[in-house]
Formats: sequence, structure tokens, C-alpha cells
Amino acid sequence: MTDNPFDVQLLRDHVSKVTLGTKLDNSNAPSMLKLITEAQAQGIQFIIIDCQHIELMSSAGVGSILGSVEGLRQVNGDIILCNLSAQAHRVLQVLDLLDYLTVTPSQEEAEALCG
Amino acid sequence: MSPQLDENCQIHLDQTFAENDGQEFLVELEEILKSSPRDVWLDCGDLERITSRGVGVLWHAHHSCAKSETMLHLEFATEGVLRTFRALDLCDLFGLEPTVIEYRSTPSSGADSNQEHYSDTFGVSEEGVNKALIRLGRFLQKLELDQTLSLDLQTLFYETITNIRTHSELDPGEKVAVTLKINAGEAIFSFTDPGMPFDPTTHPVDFDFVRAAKLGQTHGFGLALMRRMADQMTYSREQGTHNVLTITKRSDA
Repeated sequence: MTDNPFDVQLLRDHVSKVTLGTKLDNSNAPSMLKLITEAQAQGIQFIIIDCQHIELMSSAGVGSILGSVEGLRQVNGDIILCNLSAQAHRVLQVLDLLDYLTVTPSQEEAEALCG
Repeated sequence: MSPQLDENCQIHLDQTFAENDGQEFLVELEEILKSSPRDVWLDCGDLERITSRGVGVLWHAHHSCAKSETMLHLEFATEGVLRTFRALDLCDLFGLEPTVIEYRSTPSSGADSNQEHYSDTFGVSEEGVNKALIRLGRFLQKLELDQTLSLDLQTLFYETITNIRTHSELDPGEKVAVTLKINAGEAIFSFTDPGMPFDPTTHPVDFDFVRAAKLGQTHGFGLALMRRMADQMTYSREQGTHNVLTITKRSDA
């Protein structure tokens, strides 16, 4: 897998899964924001973001998720982060976002939250 | 010990790599080149000096890489290796200059651990920053630091350089100099850039990320992350021409 592309899968009518590459940073945060906005416009309520390959989640990467999550929650959906790498977990911990964002250890547990 | 390749196409060299005209090393390099990597990095941190035979083997390696359109870089060059390459005017060819990466470990007075020094100078293009981040990651990996400290240092590095790129109005060719000193669980970064004056220490530490999320804010989090992650930050404008930002990070372990 290269650094920055996302692998997007439709798991159910209203559930999409995005597998990140090694980075979610300034170079691809705008693409992530666009992807989430477009998915929501197509009726997706839940977006599962698989972070297992992430080596660098920057503040811009966090911003792309943070700026979108409330919009999905307003339609009874959510963004669910699963398989957090150590770096991604650390950044969210420092920002006090581990309780605010929905985080699960595995994709299965993330899917179970999607109604 | 034979050369070892890691997942980033890095080969660790020791003093025996040039034995038998470097046959073992060169065969392994040829194997690697079959996959056409963009870059191969040779970690010279364990070479106190290099012989003429060693230079000859690296010269051969350089030509093999050139035929495969792969860039060969030497990294973590010790002063002994640098001296030889400077004398032979080969630094440019092997990527040792103008990006100068130095690493040294010195006994620290009054402490059990050594003081580790790292310095790097690079352009602020996206590629320049990405490569510098990889080099820093490799340096930290060598030290086998506490994982949290290592992750924080890499994150601080990226966020700081990104802020310099955003606020200092540097041209892509202009260079940022970074030094890192690590001693007894305390790490001190120093970033020097020739850009417009910008003081990140004026940004508040108590930024509310949850409130920002509820407002749908998508950017402007970098300085807040830096302020939260760093234990101490100081800024000065030197000689009216350079920003100097010092960041101290202590290990929680």
C-alpha cells in the first residue's frame, strides 16, 4: 500500500469503510474531508475508518475527521475509528478526543455499532 | 555480520561490508534492485571510517543503482566517513550534501546515559519534509527510545515543519535546520528557518477540540497539538533574519 490513497468499501447500504494508508496528513486531509462529505450526501450514515496502517496522523488529518463527525451524528450516524495505530492513538489521547470520538479495537466491533 | 535490509530499503553496513570486494553486499543489492525501489539508504552509523576498498564497493553500488534509476543515499555518516567522502569530493554523489545529516553519541557528564545528537538540513518542499521525517524516524529507531517519546518527537517534528511551511513564507528551495539532543529521557529540538517572523508560543494551550468539532472546524489544530504535546517551547528571532524555535519533550516513562 502506498502512503496516501484511501481504499473505500461499501459494507452495507448505510455503512462505508475507509482503509487509510500510512498517512493522514496535510497532503490528503482535504481528500478525506471530501470523501466523507460525498458519502454523507449519498445517504451513508456510518463511516468506519480503519487506521491500522497509519504511521502519521497529523493535526490536519484529525481535523478532517473532527470537522465531519457532527454532521453524521445529526443523522443518527457516526464516524468510527478502528484498529488505531500507536501514533494515531497517541495523537487522539493528547488532544483529549478518545472519549469524544467513537473508537473500537476492531472492524467487527465497529460494524456492531452501525445498527 | 552481513548487510540487512529493512522495509524502507535501508541496508545497515558494518566494517565487514567491503570484504571479498563487497560481493555479499553487492549481490544483496542486486536482489533489492529487481523490485525497482525509488531509493536505497545505506546506514553508515556503525562505520567509524571507510577504506579505499569500501569506497570502491560503494562506487560500484552507486553505478548499479543508477542503472536501475534508483537513488542511493548514505545516512548517519560518522565524522570519519564524512572526512573521506569530503576529501574525495563524493558527498554530492552519495547524497551527503547539501542535505547534511549527522549523528553522534557522546558520553554525558554526570549521567549513566549518552547524549545523542542529531542534525539535519533540508528544503521545505513536501518531498524534502517527507524524507527528513523518514530520516528522523530511523534515527529514533536506532536509539530504542520509549515508544511514546519517539512517536511524540516525530509528530512534533512534522507539525512544526508544517507550521514553518505555512507561516514563514519560505520558498521550496530554502532550508530549515533541525537539531535534536536526547539525554536521560529529555529531548530538545531546535528548528531554525529564514522565513517571516512567526512565534507559535503565543498560541493558547487550552484549545477546546471538542468545541471545535461541534462547530465543524476542520483546520487550525496544528499549533494547539504542538502546545499540548510539548513540555516547553521557546521562540526567538535571531539577527532579524531567522526564527529559532526550541521544543523540549520529556519522557513519561
